[in-house]
Amino acid sequence: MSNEEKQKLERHSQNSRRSYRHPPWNISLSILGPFRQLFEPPQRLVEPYVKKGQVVADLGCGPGYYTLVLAKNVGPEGKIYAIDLDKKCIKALEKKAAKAGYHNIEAHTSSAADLSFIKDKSVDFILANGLL
Amino acid sequence: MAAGRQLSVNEMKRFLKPEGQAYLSLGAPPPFGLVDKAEWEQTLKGFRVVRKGGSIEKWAVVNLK
Repeated sequence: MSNEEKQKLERHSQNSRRSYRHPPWNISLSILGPFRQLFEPPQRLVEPYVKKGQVVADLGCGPGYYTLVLAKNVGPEGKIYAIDLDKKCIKALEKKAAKAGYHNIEAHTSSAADLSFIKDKSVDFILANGLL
Repeated sequence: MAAGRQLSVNEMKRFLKPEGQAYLSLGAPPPFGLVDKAEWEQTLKGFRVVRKGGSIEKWAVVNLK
């Protein structure tokens, strides 16, 4: 990566952190809470694509609505990279994962534009639901 | 396309396995969605689209083949 690209990435990363807000539709989904399961069950989106032992990246994971289902589907041999800009979401996810006994989730507070901790050509499935 | 979005898509292309798949979607349909049709098509450029939503639902399952 050239210096110019690194600077561009750093500027983007700083701006993203500064300007990040929950968009109104996500807030409404949080308020609806359990009702989200009725009209957007996570299994329906995840199950056709994710198999045991796979490596999955959940970009914009929030507090883990899809992440825990992904962790269950890949099993202990698989791995989930859970990435979100919001530290609070990542902490909430880590608590939920610990409570549910999932040890295959690697959670990071990061911009999706800089995921250098993930190796090249190492991920079987990317879930970027509502990220772009 | 917004610089951040392009960087994110570039990262996805970097770490996705050649036989892997990705589910991409917007946070909400227009007018709340931040990506217009041209930008959405630009986002999907370089991917092979396996499945996708209609003109209002902007989601797609893609791979690199």
